[in-house]
Amino acid sequence: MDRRDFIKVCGASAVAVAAGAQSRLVYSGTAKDFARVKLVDETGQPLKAASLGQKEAYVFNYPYAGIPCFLISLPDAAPAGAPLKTTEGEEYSFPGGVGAKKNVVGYMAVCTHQFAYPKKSESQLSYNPGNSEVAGRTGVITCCAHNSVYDPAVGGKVLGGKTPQPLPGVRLEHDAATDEIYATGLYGADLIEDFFKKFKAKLNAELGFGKYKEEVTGSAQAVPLSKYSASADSC
Amino acid sequence: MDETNSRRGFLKMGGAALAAASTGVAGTAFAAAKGEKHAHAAGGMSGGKLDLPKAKGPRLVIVGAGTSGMTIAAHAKKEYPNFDVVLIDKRDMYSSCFNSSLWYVGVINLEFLAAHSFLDAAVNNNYIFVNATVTGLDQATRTLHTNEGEIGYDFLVLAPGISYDYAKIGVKDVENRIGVQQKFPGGFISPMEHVTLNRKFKEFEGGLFIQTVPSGNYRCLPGPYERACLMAGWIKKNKIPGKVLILDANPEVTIKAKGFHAAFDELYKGILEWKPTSAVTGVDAEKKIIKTEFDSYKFDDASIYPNIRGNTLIEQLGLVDPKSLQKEANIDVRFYNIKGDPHVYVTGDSRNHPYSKSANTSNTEGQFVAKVLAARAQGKEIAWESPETVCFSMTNAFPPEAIKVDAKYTYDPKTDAITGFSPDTKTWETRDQAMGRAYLEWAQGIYRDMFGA
Repeated sequence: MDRRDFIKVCGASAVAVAAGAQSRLVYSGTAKDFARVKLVDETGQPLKAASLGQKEAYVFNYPYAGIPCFLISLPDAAPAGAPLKTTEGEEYSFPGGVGAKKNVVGYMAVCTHQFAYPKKSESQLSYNPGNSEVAGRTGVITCCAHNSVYDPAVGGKVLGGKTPQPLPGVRLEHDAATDEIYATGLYGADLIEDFFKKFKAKLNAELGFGKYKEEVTGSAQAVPLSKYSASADSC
Repeated sequence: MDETNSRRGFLKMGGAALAAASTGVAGTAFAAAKGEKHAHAAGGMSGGKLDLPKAKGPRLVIVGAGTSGMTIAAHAKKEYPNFDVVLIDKRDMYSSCFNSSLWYVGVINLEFLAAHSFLDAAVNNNYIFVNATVTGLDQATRTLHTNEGEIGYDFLVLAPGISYDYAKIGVKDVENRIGVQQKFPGGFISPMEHVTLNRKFKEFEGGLFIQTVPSGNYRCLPGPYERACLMAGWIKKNKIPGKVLILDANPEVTIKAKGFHAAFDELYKGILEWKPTSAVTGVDAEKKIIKTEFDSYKFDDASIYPNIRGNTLIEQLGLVDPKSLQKEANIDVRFYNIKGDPHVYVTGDSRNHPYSKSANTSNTEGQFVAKVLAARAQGKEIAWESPETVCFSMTNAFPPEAIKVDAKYTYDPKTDAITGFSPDTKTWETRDQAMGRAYLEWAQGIYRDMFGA
């Protein structure tokens, strides 16, 4: 499924987006376009899909300054098409990995169970290409706070724990000519408003008052999780 | 037994039980139930109605703003937006029981436990919070009585937690019991106990500190062992000339035994001693002596954790399961309604299940009960789901290192009973700092779920 097809699938819900001031932080339905943002490394150089490390996730902020997301290079292609569902009952379809190998995926890095996310001090949410004791398999995203498990190769599908819905996805676009990667929107559950409600005070303290809801435009730095968080724990 | 005698019976025991109640009952405005459906208020300030807006949908009244009640309140409208939800608690300030021992050694501060507002929870989850004390229940007319007035319900959830049962550790004399309760609190019910225990840690200058562990299905199985480890670590770090003695009513550490024994042996040798099969049979609060069947121990300070029981509110409303050894509620084992009454439910640590009485059990159970209520409000039924007990214990505070268990439970349809932990239960008993960090996020996640903030 290419981007056009994906938008076709989600078109009906995307139309309902962005009416009124409140909706800037909300997307009704299962998909929303945000700014087309180039993913770059810590020095500002564009990340190339073929050169991404595969030992851990990269963290970048998108579509707002206070929202952490994962960029993950999987060992194998992540085919499109897996059917997924939010707790609201909205059905959507995994758009699949991007890049020449179709193995690069993106997710909002917020556990849909009780909202753990990567902080500078520590992260309970991580992608582990090796074996996970909690999941009993390799290549999963785990949240060690309550043993939630997600499958990054299948649209963030829930594999274990009491978490109620898949991780929201970051829609990625790949430029085949340059091998560069862009984030263009989100799909799946809409957690942004809820996330900001829960962490507003903390985000204000860390980023400056109101900065967390500034839209990310142009480019976003994606940093390996082990550099982003002082302790990136897997389980 | 006629109702008069029944009531007299209640009042006789009521004095002892009331003092320990977490979500208790004001005064003596009770008649014990003669039948399942006729517990009612016999006086008190229940003449008027609670001053609330008219219900805009089926009214769900929840009593008890602990983990269970708050989880159900937070999820009820998400599961069924038509619900009109009212949460009632006699407390006006929350402070977390789970994680509280970590405060005593400085791993967290009081703000971590207590900076959570019932007002924010109500606003964020679209319900009404009422600060009131339950005084009675009339199941026939679906009316709950409180000291602030009465309220009708379509569904009522009672989640009052536990009460202590000092008689089971041989503490029966009232004067002595009050001495034990006030001087050496168990620390598994109320914030004031936590404040006292925090002070004890900071004031302990040496000698013997005793932590007792009761028999039965007590609240927070690893809790007393964890606290003993933290006290031993505190003594070690601060070079206090003191020792910790665990008097355990059980023959083995009741959960995560391997991980706790490793901490006892590797971290606290010579500081902490664990004595199994040492049920407390008496305490002299004045002389600071604890008796077991064969020994007696003179202590300098202690946290005496007595046996526990379903909150006295459950007994006062006539809802106790006659087969329950801990006076827990007579509820359907899968769907939590009082047997014979689909409108009244008991959840959390007053349930009559062998579930671990822990925060994560109540949190995951509460999410399920919200679905049960939503289904029943629409005339439907849903399949049973097991709660899950993900539970960390800090066996070392310097640096913070923890162990963990992840358990679900098995239901046997032949006996209509919960038979214990499910076969896929896992433990992680090699303490490490990663689990120490996860422990804190575990608690914060549950607070976020309860308060929406």
